[in-house]
Amino acid sequence: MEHLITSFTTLLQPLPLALLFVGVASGIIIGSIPGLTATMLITLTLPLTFFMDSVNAITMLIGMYVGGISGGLIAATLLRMPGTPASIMTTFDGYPLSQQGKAARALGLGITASFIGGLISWAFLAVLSPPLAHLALTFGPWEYFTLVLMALVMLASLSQGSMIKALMAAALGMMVHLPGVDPSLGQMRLTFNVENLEGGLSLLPVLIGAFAVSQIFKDIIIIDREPPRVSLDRKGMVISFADLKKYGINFFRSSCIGTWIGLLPGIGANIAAMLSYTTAKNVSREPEKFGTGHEPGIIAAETANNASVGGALIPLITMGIPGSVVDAILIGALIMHNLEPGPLLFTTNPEIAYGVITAYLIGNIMMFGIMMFSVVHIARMLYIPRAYLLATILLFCIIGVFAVANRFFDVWVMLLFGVLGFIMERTKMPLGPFVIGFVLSPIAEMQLRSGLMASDGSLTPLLTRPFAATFFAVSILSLLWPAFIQWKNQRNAIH
Amino acid sequence: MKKQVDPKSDIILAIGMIIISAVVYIGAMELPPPRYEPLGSGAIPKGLAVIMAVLSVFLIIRALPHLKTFEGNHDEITDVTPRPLLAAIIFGLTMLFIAVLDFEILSFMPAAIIYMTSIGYFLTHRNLKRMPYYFAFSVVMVVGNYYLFTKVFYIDLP
Repeated sequence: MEHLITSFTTLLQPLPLALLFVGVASGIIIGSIPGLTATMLITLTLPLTFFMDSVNAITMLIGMYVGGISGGLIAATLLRMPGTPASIMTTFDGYPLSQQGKAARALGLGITASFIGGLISWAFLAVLSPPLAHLALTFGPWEYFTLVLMALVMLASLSQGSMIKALMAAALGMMVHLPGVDPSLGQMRLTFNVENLEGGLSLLPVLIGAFAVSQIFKDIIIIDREPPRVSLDRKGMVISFADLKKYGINFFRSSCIGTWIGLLPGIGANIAAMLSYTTAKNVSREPEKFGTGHEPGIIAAETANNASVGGALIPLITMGIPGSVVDAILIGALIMHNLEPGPLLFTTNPEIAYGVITAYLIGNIMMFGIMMFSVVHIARMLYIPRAYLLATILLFCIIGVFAVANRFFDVWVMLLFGVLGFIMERTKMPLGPFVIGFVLSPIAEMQLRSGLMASDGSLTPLLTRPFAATFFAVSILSLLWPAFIQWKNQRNAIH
Repeated sequence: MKKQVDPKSDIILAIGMIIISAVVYIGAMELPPPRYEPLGSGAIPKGLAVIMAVLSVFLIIRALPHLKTFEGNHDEITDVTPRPLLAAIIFGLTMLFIAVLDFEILSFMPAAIIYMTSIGYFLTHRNLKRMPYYFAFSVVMVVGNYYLFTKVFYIDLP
């Protein structure tokens, strides 16, 4: 409690507050523009955070995370174009409601839902993180290895599309991290006598290439797509207390679903929104109204996607395991600032761990204020000519990556991964497992090798250590469950 | 109508992944055997290469029956004309820009202004009337970024 109060005192200073505001505002703007995502913004901002104090850097990035997830609802509601993948479910009811002349109401519901989801998941984050970090201190190499395995397999099994391709993406991400020095033995491997590979492939060029550059080229292909003009005013945007009471159960249920899904390693806001929306529809007395501009649909989707942000931060700060793809990038940010993600963060750098918790709360409050007062103006950003926007981002990618280590090898790597990311998306190979595989590969390898050394090469601890056995069992189940469901459906179809 | 996955692209993807796996496996074979621990440096690369190869084979097996029956998806993009050639041109210009800086043919500011103006020319569909505005925009962006990175962040640009 004392650390939390200290953290609030630290954050409520002009500079951190200003950086948090900049983060939230830029996240909302970028999140609102279809084709640009919070992931891209955070990745592009990483080079700039080199020059900041660690707490301020993480504060700003958390602000971008909160803003980016929330901003997606603007284009989803007004244009039926989700600003971010997390807002796909919002298009189902947000857009039809706006077409009925109630755009302000739809946005007001979405913004309020985002805020409440953020608040409730903050409560879970603040209450659960310290004891979970304490528990994680008892984890050994087998627990960490199986936790990483579970994250990768669950992400692959829940990815939209082919599970085989998602597993391939994860394996590819892990392979990409292999060249360089073997961390255990100091042995050079897979460098193929290329001097520049001796230091391995840096995180930033790979991330910026895979997410930002590939997205830019995808947007260039459809550059002629112009969003339809929509008029909007703020009348009817503020939600009444009666509405809060009417939808109270939906708010709470969706927040819990979002937080829980976010807590599961590797799974992000779009899955949380999907599950929450489906649940709301299934328990509703009027399920046929979902998809026609039904208000509970907007509430379920937006509450859950924002709540998942708080949930995803829990494994990040307690165990150093990303709760989502964005969290994988935040792990990269922590490493870049010479911080070791994991349960020791609460002991060695409590200002960072508690800083994340307080930044998330204040960021949500700022998000609510900014969106309620400025959504009409932010909506105008949807019409910035792509020719200017994409060229600027591309230039920034090149400079940002060069700035990491002042070498053009990184820029060429960025371009290569831009091509790879583009090919992966075209062939429906998801990028999420690739990035998580890349970020978690060194942890997985180190923990497996440490575990085997401690057990003299035996794999028995996988089954005898309770947490490791549980994570391993969940991994196997996640791998086999989709195949079982498919077999069952095929059998039912035959009968 | 449910979109089918193009089996040809799956097969090409799987072959590409098998080639990558082979390269990784061969590279890992050169590593010395483990001495102080059970796995050694080569075990994880080899393991990942085998997993990738197996998954790729599964993908090929899954795709083969659909090769003859696949009718082709209706283009996902129906509201605009896709411009893959434009993306290829911008990619080529980007490679050229990076090469010019890497081989120190030009310094950052002139190279970046030419680069931004060139891609603006193509992104605005070769509209010469908009070029003066785009040129001004490029100069502002490049000079602004140059001063931001060199004077604020103290990063040397070429």
